[in-house]
Amino acid sequence: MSKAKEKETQEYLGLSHVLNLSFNWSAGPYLGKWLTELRDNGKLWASRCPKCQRLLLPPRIVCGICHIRTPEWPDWLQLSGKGKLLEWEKVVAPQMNPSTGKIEPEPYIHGNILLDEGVTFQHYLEEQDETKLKEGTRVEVVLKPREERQGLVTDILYFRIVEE
Amino acid sequence: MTSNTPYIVEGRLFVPYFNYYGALASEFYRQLRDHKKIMGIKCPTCSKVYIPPRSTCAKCFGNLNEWVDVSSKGTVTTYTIIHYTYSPSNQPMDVPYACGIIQLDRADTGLCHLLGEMSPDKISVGMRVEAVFKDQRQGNILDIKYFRPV
Amino acid sequence: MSNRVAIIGVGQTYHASKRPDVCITELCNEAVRAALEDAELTMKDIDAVVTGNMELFEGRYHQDLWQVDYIGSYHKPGFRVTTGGTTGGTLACTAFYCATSGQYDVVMSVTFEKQGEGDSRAGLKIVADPIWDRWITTGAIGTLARLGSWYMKEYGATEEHAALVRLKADRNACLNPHSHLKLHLKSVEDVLKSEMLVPPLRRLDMCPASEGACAIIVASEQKARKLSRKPVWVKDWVEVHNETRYNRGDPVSLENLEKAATTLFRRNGITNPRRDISMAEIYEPATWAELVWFEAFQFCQKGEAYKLVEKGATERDGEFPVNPSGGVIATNPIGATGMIRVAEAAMQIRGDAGPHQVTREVKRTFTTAWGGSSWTVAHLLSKTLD
Repeated sequence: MSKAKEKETQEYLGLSHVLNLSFNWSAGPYLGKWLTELRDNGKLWASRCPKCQRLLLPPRIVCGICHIRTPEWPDWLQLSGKGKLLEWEKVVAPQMNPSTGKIEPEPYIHGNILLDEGVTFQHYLEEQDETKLKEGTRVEVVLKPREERQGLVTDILYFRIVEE
Repeated sequence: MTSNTPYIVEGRLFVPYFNYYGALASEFYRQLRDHKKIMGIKCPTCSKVYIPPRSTCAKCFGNLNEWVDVSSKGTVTTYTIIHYTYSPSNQPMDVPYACGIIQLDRADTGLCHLLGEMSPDKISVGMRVEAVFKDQRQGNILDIKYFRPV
Repeated sequence: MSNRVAIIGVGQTYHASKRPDVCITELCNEAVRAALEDAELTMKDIDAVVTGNMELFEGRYHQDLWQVDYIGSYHKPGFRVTTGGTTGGTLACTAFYCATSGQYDVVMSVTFEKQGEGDSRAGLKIVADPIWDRWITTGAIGTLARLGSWYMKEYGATEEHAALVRLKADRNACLNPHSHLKLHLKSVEDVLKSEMLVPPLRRLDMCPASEGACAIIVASEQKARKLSRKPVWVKDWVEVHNETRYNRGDPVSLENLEKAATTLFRRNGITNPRRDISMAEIYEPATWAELVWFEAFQFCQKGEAYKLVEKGATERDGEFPVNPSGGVIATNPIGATGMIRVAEAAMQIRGDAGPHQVTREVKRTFTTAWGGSSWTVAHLLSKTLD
């Protein structure tokens, strides 16, 4: 019924092209400081909204709910990097990496972790065997060695299960 | 207190795409690729010959499908010289090069394309030019290499 | 609201996985011509044109520039609106805002997506903030998988229930001439043997990447009465946003959906949604979403949705039809999808949807669009003004 079917024998031409663009994204003062602290000192921070008291990870200059400015570093809370696993996803089908155009499998399972200080954080999990993952499993952050850290959120390598 | 120096994260987008021309424009590019012919499309109501061709008339919203060979010769109506390398991977020629709007003999709209085989100071509005086709053609607008003086 | 508004024309393309016979702008033109034909109008009758899609799926930018000839916006006022997955729904709202303002009487809204021209999942990944979210979160597909695992754990639903939702969508899609995926699935096993993407989400639990366009024509009250025999009145609409971070605490992020429904129901005196509304076209990018969000929109108690699906209550001939068009899991040209919900609901109210018309009389519909970090747009359409 569709027009497409009638024209099956016709050759449809088109243009291949690549969107190949480089960018310099400004992280801003808060996220910039957060990334610097991670790279140089191996520390993780969160900021707290002075009104609703919720923790913001990553810290941002405004609380989206209260519409007020949040404090600057060092008026932030240092995180222990420890928490418990809430849920996880294993991305089975490989996806295209938009900065290389290549189809790549996900290196790890993604976990949603409730850090002990009371804020959630989504990142990779070291454990590849899903049967070992349970809600409530204790995990802790593992950073890349100092010389490999670049000031990106992937300076955090993954979270590993804490044997208890 | 927070750092006063700007914190910059470098990144890149590298994503491949394939945009279909559609059945109508496919015919235009096929004529370029296979027959070295430049075709326009005529609106029966407005009597305007569009190039590149499109399936709907901008003015009267009519459906267009009447093909016209607009000839590969035309007149330069305006031009500019590009001195600036804005995209090393994407510019069609090395700077400096000239780009102009060419009114092909039987078209009513101009075609933007490259002007070659002439030094920039010899280009003038009103000069006659003709299309030079590449030997290896693939079905895109650069199957026409450039327009050169007649 | 200053002026009341109605939908006086709808049009869409025959959605497919690839439409190599048309370029992007010609695809939009098909939907525009279909809407004009449906409304029995010409481009001269349209005062303003608004348009949009979800950017970067086709590697093209500033689409409103390239579409001018094809969507009739030559020398007409209008603008581009793009809000991610909610784009289609927002563009319906945009047309409503324009027509209700008194500034324009007849407004056309055009949306599309041509996803086969790029990699859809790369396009979705690009949405995520490049410094933080893009590299460490799973984005949309992870969010949808999480809906499934949460719902099963919380209320005892099973993967078979999600499969039942798919079967219903497929049955409806096979009747809808415009839908993309007409799979003719026979049984739950057909769904359960499809490829696993992110457990428990399978390929057949997910929507496809489609190519298609949709257009609606909206008129202010006076013009609607003059120009249309069957205007579909727009009672109300709302957009709800939240903070953009994928990794928030709540695993399923339902507050936006709940707020959208509560706002519309409160403003319009709806106290028993399943009784006061006739049917819904919900934006559900996955089978699990239809189950969980049906509850979030307060159409039933928590934990009840999968039982209603089991009983057939949401079938086309059921007590409360949900997505008789086949829904998003049968057809998903992302930019247009939100608007297709509105177009389909309007046709159901008019009674001329086609073979997939619901059997009960449709007086009021509830349509939604969803995107990003659970942004929600919702509309309430009605057969009569009261």
